[in-house]
Amino acid sequence: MEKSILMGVIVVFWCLLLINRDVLSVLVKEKDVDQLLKMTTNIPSKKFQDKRLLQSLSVVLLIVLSIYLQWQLLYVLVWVVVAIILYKLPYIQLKSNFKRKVKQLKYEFPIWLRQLQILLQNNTVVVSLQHSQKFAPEIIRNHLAEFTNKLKSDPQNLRTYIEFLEEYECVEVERAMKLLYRYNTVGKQDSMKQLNRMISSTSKWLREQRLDRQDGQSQMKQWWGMLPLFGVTIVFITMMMQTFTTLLERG
Amino acid sequence: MIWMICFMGLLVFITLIKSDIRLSQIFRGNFKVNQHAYKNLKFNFNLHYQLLMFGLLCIVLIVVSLLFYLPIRHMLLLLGFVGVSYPVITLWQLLYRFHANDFEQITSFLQHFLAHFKSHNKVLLALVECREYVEEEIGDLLECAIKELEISGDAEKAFEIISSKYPHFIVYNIQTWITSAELYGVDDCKEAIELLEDDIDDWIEDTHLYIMSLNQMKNKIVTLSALSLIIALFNQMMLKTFMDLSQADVYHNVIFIFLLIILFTIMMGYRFLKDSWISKGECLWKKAS
Repeated sequence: MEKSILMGVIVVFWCLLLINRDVLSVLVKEKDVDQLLKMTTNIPSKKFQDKRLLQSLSVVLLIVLSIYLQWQLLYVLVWVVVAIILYKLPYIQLKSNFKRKVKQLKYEFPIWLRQLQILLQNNTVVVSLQHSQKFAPEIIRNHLAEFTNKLKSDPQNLRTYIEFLEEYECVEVERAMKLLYRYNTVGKQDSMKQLNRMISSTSKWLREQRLDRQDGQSQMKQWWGMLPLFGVTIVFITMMMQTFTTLLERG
Repeated sequence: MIWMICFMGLLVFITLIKSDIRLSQIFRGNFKVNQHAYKNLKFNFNLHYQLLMFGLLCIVLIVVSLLFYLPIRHMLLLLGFVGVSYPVITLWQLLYRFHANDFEQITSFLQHFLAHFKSHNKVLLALVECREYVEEEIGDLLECAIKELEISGDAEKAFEIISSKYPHFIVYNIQTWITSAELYGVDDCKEAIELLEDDIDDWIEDTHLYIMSLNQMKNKIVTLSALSLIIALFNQMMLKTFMDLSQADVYHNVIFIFLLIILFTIMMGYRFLKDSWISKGECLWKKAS
């Protein structure tokens, strides 16, 4: 009797949650989901949340099955944990995608900036930006078109510079854009100083990123060195087992 | 059991070589495509040297097999694996030399080109003077660029012949800069040439450091493989006192797998070095990026 009541309560509660998914979504939604979705995929936030909640709620229903089959409390806890993991997993994937994009941006941005600095030797900021669009890295290209259009209408606005790629929350990009703004707004003599400052910081950044990437690649490859040692461990274990078997057979 | 291990080993081997050897052509009995790959990399085939190397490898393998009490069938299968691995390792070494030479050629061309351009500000003259410093493929590209420049007079179009083959951002930056420098003069933008020169120097230094670290890694892998062989040999000596190893099937199969692991690990060490020295990540100026 108690079992049926408990199952009934859970099913009713589950139905309520299913019907009021929107309210539940607001309550459990992470703060940065919308921002992450905007930067990584074009899936609408509502659709993304709905899919996550449905997946998670379908696992919650298994709790009823556990109670019906009189499984241990541990199983109920396992289903709850699985439901939480299923809910959190798409968010974790989204976050890691975003991190990967930021890493890519940090690597490609100084390369694009270097091209811009070369173009700035003979052109104005807006013209240089326009020229750099054609071969700009994909991650920057769309933002660049928008940025150039904004600059054309209001070239002296610091906000326009700061807003460029600000969604990626990359301090280095913001600093570089501020230097570009300063270069564009100060007098001709000072502008060369600003440009040189920007160039030297980009040189450091460029090298840092290159060395960082190479270091990452080397570290990944280093693990191959462990393979022969792993092999010899397998050989050792097998030999020991064979020795024991032989000794036992001899009595 | 041994055939299953061989099949698995073959799968691993195919995975390792599929990007460099055209297996589909080999299965069709056409070896010419793969022969061309060696020829293109200027493989100096010396039958005596190759036979000597292969003979030495076989002797080492036979000695190792005898030390581990491997039966003839296992020994022959191992010889087969080493026999097919040897040409692949040779190809990877050739690729390594080719990429090293290619990198040296392009960087030295860029350095000389900028130095000449700095002195007289003319792209055609700088290209002609650089012709002496470079050879092989980049030499041909330079010839094409010179011809293009003589016909069209368009420095950007001429330099594009080089940048399309080497789409590194530094090459593209040089192309952008010399195009505008020839049009508007270099008086206002002398800093740019130093900037480009510094970029090339950094590029060379960082790449050499990376390749050096890869070489060290390869040596480390080979040393660790040798070390694990010695450890396995000590284990085997210990076991030998308890049982007759020449009759133990499980032991033979385990040692066979272990020796295959060693072979594939050494192959991986060489495989790391076969890639181009020009990082793909820095070739952003391809339209398809």
